[in-house]
Amino acid sequence: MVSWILIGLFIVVGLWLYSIYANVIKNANFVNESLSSIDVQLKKRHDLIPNILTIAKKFMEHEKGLMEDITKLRTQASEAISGSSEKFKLESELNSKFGQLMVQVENYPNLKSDQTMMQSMRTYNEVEEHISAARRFYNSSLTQLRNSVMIFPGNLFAGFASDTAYLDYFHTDESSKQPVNASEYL
Amino acid sequence: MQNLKSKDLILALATDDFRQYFDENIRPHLYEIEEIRKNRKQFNLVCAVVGIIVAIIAFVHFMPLLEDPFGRVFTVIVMVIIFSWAFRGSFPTRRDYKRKIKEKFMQSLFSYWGDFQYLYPESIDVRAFREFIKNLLIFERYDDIVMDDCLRGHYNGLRISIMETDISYTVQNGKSSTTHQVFDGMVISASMNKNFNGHTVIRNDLGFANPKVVKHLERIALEDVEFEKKFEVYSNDQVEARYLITPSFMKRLVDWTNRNKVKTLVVFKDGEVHILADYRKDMFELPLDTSATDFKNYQRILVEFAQMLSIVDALKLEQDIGL
Repeated sequence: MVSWILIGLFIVVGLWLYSIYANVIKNANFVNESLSSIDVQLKKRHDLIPNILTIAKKFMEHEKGLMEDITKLRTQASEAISGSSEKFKLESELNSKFGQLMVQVENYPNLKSDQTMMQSMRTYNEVEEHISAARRFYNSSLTQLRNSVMIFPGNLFAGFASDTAYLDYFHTDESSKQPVNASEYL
Repeated sequence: MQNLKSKDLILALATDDFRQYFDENIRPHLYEIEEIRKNRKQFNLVCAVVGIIVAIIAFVHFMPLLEDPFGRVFTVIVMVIIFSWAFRGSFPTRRDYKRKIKEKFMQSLFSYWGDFQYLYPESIDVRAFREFIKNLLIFERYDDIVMDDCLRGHYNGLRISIMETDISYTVQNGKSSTTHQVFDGMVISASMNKNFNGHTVIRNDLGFANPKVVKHLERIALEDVEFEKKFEVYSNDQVEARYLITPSFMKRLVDWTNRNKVKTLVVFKDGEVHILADYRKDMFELPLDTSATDFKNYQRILVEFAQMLSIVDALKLEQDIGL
């Protein structure tokens, strides 16, 4: 009788531990899925950048340096490893430089009113919003995974997701945290 | 008036312009209706008086029977029959009156706003609408959907339709049954400037009773704590759900529901947003006890309409950026 109770208890504990293990693995996979969804959106942005630069080159002769920086950063970001802090940093720099280019467009009325440019900028803004959404998905799934591997008994299985659980969160770049000086735009 | 925001319309309704519009375009059609209302009111009053007199006579006549239990039941039944007859006149009349008055003024009234078109419930495909509600995946349980007033038009560049809807289910308890109202308000559908293909639902938070999945939609955890306390989001696309429900959108929705004290559910589907605002009252209705030509009633209807559209302004649906 006692042995049957022990066997039953063993099975229940085994199932419970397995469900915790499965949850950790599921959350780790979720983080990988969210990382790949960022990559999908970033790929869209990378594909769009050459088109915008081609149109911009016709009008923005004085911004050659900025455009070269963007091209260089795009190549580096494409080659960086997905989910690495280097990739995040490069993408953030690329975003910042591209933001500068968009501000400069304001100084070129002919370019600003160009239909293809307008369409491209609209698409770019949409892609940016998708990137932002994908990053929020990533941060959310990373929090879920970290919670599951840091709280007992999930921490017993932390080793199974160690390469994913300690990835960096996506943070906004330092330049976007600076206060806006309205006089620069007036 | 077409490009005015809802709050501007509310201000415009207080001006002499609207009174002049009402006097020229709506009031002339209402005298005939007012005559019907007065006659019906008189008739109802006569019925009620006659009913009460008959009830008193009957009660005196059946008084000796009250000592007997069977007699008491019999007396109650007779009284119910007499009172039902006395007040029966008002029910079909109310419906007829409403219908006639809406025929006369609804279209002209909403024309003041812009190109809004009033549609009668009979002109709407009931089966298609029921299918539409079912596919939104917003209500767990219902077995009856009743539609009333419907408006279609454009508001600040968005294509909009507003449908007054009542959704309920009935529970059988032996021989008796109880009807539970699930929703009694407006279904506001609007086109959006954002492109999306998926299905995202913002439902009320049910605490521990929240399901993990709703059909093919999985639960989405969002970062706004106040939003998460009130709502639960389900979607078939994690990224698209966050693209549509931005932090600003969450804040706006929470602010709007707190300010207006209206339970609000939102569905993004087939490139449109559907807002279900549970007002728990019959909208666009005129009371029987005031004159059919009373300006204030029409002013109130348009104010109600503008308040409904205020959700479009509050959520900034006309914008194509996620800020």
